[in-house]
Amino acid sequence: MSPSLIDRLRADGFEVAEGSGGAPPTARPADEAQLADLLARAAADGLRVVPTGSGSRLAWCRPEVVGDGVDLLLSLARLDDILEYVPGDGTITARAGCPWERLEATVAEGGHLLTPATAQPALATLGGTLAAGHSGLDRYRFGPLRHHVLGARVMLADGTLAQSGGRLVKNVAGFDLHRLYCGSRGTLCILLEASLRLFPAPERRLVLVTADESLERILERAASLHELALSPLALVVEGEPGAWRLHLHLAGLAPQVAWEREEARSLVPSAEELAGEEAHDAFRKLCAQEVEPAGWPQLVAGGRVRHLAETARLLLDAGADRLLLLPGVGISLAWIGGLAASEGSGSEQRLQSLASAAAERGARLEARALPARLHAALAPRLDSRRAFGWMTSLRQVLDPRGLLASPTFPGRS
Amino acid sequence: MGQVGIVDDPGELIVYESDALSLLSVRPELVVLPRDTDETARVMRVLHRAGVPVVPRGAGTGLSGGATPVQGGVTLATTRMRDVLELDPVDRFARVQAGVVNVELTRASRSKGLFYAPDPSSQTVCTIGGNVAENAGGPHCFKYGSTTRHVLGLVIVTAEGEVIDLSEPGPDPLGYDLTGLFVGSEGMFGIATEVTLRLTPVPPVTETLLVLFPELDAACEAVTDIIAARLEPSALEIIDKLTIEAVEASVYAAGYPRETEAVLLLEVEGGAAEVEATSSAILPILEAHGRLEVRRARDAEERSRLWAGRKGAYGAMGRVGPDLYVADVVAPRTRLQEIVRLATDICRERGLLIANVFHAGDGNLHPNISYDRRDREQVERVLEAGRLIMEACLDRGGSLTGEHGIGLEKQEMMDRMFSAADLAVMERVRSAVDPARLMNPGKMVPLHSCGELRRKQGEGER
Repeated sequence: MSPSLIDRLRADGFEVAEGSGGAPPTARPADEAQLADLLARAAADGLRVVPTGSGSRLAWCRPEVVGDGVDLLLSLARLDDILEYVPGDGTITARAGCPWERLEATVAEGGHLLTPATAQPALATLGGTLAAGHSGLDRYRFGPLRHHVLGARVMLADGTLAQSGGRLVKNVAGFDLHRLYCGSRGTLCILLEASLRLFPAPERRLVLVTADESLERILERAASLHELALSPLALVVEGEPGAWRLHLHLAGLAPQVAWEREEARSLVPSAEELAGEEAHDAFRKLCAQEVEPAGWPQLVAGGRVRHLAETARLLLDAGADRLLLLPGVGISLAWIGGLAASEGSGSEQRLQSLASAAAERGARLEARALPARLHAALAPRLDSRRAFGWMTSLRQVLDPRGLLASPTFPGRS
Repeated sequence: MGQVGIVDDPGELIVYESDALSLLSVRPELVVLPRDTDETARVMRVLHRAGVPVVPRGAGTGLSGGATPVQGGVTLATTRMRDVLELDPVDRFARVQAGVVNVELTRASRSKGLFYAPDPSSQTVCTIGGNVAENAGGPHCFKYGSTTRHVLGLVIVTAEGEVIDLSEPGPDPLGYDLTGLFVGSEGMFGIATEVTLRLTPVPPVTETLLVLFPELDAACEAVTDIIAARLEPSALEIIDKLTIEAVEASVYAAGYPRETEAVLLLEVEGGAAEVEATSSAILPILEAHGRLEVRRARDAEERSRLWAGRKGAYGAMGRVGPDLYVADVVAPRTRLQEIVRLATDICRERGLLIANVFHAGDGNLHPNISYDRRDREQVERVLEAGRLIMEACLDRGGSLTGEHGIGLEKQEMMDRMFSAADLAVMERVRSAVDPARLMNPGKMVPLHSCGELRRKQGEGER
């Protein structure tokens, strides 16, 4: 977008901030009418736009925003009201720009808990979290975020406003389009509002932490804890070669936590223990690890639980400096510093062979915070699977002009 | 496919004329029963080339007419696809063919210490494929969630006969969540032939309580307060007096006291301490609402009997009238008692017999109206009552359906719940996956929401 267009938008009453570090400018519509107006202008001028919340997940989801792949970011940050919190129903409905932290604080007053336990609640927004399809470390108990979206209101690229689902915990009327939108990274529509299911806030929290220098040994212990069939909030293994830690976060009614503690202690008798607010703080810090250090390149491998140890070993052998693993879920996060400095086609090939090796172990590799070129190297080709035919058709019917399209998601051409 | 996979005898086709919404029936031209994904794909390719509409069908237990045949169409039933293909106790999932009966999956998983949580009342008959199409629920979905939270992957045969494998190895979808979109799409996006399902560890302790109330209102209010107190039993089911009488007079007799106005069937699961803590917190709430008595199931046998009564309630209602209209609406859980009372009033004003047996914890009501389909005037009154109950729910922030789906039964009410733009977007999505609209046509989305069909009809009329 030329500076004169920024000036024109400003003159027409739009709030627009210039981008920095190679990022495009960000327009912050004050209401839905302004948002529709911006989309219409973008369509008329053939601009490529990306909807955002605070932008905290853009590097993960839409790395093309840095460079010349995108013309304008549309931030929903000003559409941030909480529309309805019904404690008796255990549901909350808010606008997309509402910060996660505010949602958490609101439901906490009514004795509720929100999932996912996100890494940056002060930065993350409802819409951004849903669009990223980001589930937190608490998915061991609650499952993925997409299971708890009860309904959504969206704006399509042509300005159409549409609702699916509702505000009820049980409802099967109409197609579950909100499930489709969740995790669609802003490529199908712009999320305006969503309703979420809530959970009872725990009466007691307790964390057991145990350390080991052997990754294999600590993962075996995690597997044994998983076999106990407890319902912890989170079961996480993290660390770096030679220094691994296992975190078991228990939360719930006090007698339940006490019982689960006893069961778990039989397997980790020497674990360090934190309770109450200390346990809660420890959990927040553990969640925050997912984005630390900021901007550090990450690889995410999702696969079967039974192959987690093999996948983790593969990532370490590929040069991972640090790992964060979710036993019982099947997710491995790897921080590979060398990737940030990688230049040339060698790094793409290296990534692709790593992805092939992960696939042999039943895991799929995805990039987070990698340069767009490397991100694209891991993106699947749209002609590689029949399912992409449906995805392409869906994108075409919802956004025929490709205003919101991404060069790498759901795949590359 | 061989003769065993094809039904064309007029006498045999009668079985497939309707699902459990027997008010609506159409004789299919043909019924095909493929054995696996490959056979399904080959059949679909032939039918697509011929432009023949296809209605998917599981066991035919649906209550909204989702599996009602269409004129000139073929019904494709999944009931011969009955194999459990894989059961993994470490990753806690099972991969099954679509025709596997719901309860069979739990039976197959028990020896591994696992079970399949969604448990519709028809679980001894209904199929996993049907459960996926309707996003089926059941009493224990209060704690564990409806079918959609348990489907990890699918193999789908599209209208064109293409096979799409959405059985991902990882915990998140590759690209868009097509699995989430497909579940509950009522057979309009294709046919699921294989389903990967999450299995849940069997809880160490289960406590089942039968709570007797002097009136239905009190039972409803108790449930509302249990939820407001953020307590998490695994099931909260209310059964009213008329249903109790029908159940107790039937083969499903469970020992529900006939003189009671309403019972609350309540189950708490978890570790022993958790179960005790939850039950202890619930008991004062029950007392505050004037419960008459709390009976604890003493063993697994007694627990099974109590649940057999609840799940056999629809069958038992055959004693009250020759036909049963099973409504399925959702009320905000804070307005449970209000909607139950309204539904009762609506039926009484029309001289209809109403019985209530429902998933109170989810706000999912099933006002059941007994009638005789031979009495056309009575049928009209039943349909009017059903419509008014749905409208009352919608006016109070509720939904048209919690687990039975829209099908044909509630199609014309979709306009009351969704705007024209909402429905048009649903049609757009449908056109992306089935441009020829051959999959279960004429269901769920009202015909007038489909611009293309409207235009075609207009051309035809000219």
